[in-house]
Amino acid sequence: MRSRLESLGVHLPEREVSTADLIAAMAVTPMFDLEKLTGVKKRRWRADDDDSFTLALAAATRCLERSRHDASDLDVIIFTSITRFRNGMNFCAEPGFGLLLKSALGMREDALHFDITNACAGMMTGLQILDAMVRSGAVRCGMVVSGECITPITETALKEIRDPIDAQFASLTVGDSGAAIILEAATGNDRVEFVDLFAASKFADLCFGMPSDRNPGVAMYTRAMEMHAEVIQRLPAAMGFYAEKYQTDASQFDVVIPHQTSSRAIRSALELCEATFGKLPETCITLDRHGNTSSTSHFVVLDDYLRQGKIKAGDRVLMLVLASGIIMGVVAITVGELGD
Amino acid sequence: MGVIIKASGVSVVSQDSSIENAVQAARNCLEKAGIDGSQVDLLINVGIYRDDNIMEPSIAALIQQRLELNPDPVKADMQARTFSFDLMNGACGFLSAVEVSRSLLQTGVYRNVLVVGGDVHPSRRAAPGFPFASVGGAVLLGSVADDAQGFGAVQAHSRTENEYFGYFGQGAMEDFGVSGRQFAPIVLQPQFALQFSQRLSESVQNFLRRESLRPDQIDVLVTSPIEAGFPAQLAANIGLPASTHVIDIHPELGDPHTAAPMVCVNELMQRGAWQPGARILFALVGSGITTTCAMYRVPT
Repeated sequence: MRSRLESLGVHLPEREVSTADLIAAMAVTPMFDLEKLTGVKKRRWRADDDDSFTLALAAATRCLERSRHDASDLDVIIFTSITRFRNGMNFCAEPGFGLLLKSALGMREDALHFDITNACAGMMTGLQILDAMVRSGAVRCGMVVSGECITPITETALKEIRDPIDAQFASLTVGDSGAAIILEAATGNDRVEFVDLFAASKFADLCFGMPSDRNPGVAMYTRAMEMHAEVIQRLPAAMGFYAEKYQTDASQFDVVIPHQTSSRAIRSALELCEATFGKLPETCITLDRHGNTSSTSHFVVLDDYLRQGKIKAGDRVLMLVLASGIIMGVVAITVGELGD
Repeated sequence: MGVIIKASGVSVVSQDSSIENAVQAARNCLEKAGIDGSQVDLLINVGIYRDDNIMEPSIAALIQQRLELNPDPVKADMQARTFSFDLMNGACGFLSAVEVSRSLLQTGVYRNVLVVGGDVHPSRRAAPGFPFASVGGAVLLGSVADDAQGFGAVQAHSRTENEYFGYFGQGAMEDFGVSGRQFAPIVLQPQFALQFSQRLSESVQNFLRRESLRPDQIDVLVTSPIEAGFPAQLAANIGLPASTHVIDIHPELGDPHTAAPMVCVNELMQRGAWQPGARILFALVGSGITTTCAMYRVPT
């Protein structure tokens, strides 16, 4: 048995903040043109009453509206965000957000709930788990949801960046969002084809998200040079392995969705992938408008392309995963009828 | 397919680091299992309160790094890869990890799943008022063909009544100030132990009815060591006979929170109470209030 993506809901806060506005607010002028280098022109920004919980709830609600399932049908809910802010900027370790969402959505008391944290691979990790739970028959259908209230790291970076090659520069590329998916047993051709993730933990300390020690708030510190020099260079061998393992290559896909880091990083990563996986199809990018939405990024892009009609039912989608940990891997989904 | 516990471990010389404690427990566990770290395909960390309040990467990835579980498979051997993630569900996280592992093991992709847990004050110092014992726990899960062996279905239940009850680990970032890496805002609501006990008793009784089990069919009880005597009280509430082995690690250790069920398993194995064929009831309770129950039959 396989699982299928039955519904998808994305929520983006209305407010937009341009990269130019951010740069103008900085104490130092970056050495390079941030907008040109990253490709991020603007990103969505949380409203005053938004937090990880409200962003997740809005996405989950939209996902259920588009689904033929009710909240009471869901056998499990998996919350997968990095950020855990609730009631504004209150950091909440427990109870878990899966539980908070379960009760807010009106799910059954005997439905399973838990949180997964796996940096920007959170939703993909949740997808792998839920896919396995549907395939094993442990659940009939369930939801993976993330509410990523991530712009607080931008606020910290704006206060703290002093060095033109500061470890906090990547914090200026992120945007807020929520995304939710429902998986159920597949009956037709649309299905989750494969999910294959691993942790190259040799590089676990290249990117940290944690409270700042200089200001109240959270910060992210990335060693971008090493990420490029070491991690990205491993893509050809990894993709060659996947091509052989799944007897596949780029020609088997209609679109590719990379993690939305920066346009330059994506370009060089995809070139390396092509060395062993073949010429990739159309690359889906929304980071110019949404920035890097962290754990929701692939689904924010998928939703955007579906609504624009650029991805259609029957399309084979290849998602490339790259996250702190370092989590690497691929997710292949043939999408069905999704959307309103 | 049954999910079985192949080995268990604890942090022998516990430190004020959730990473260090989990690493120690994992090494202890793998040594007993007689397997090499490279054979671990999946690492799940169920700990909540962690060093420096790190939010990314997962604590599991940092533990995996320290344990050197296939740290660089692209350079070494892509056939031997380890995946890792954090799973958080308060004191019930261990059984959530079991339920997740059942499905992941069934896909045939994984053979050895290492589950670790444990909590520390984020400051990595002994902190007065931090309610949990800083101890790391680990178990190695695997599968057997016979589904009458090992863990049965995990039954979860939560009822919130618009109010979350129990441990409340929440605080305003503003109040964290510049010491956010040392901040653990934990509130224990008054009377929570009594409420946990009542709710868990109800859940266990429902669970036993659903599984058509009588109290006298339970050889061992593993529950959350909320306070000393909590396990005995639960055993009395659900009518377990005197012959049932009820483990209470609280008098000696306190409450190791997310690691507690794994520490209990390790203790039972050391005491010789983990006998082939034994039927073990896991009944966990945590914030929410959330309760989670499962039966485990020690493989014969």
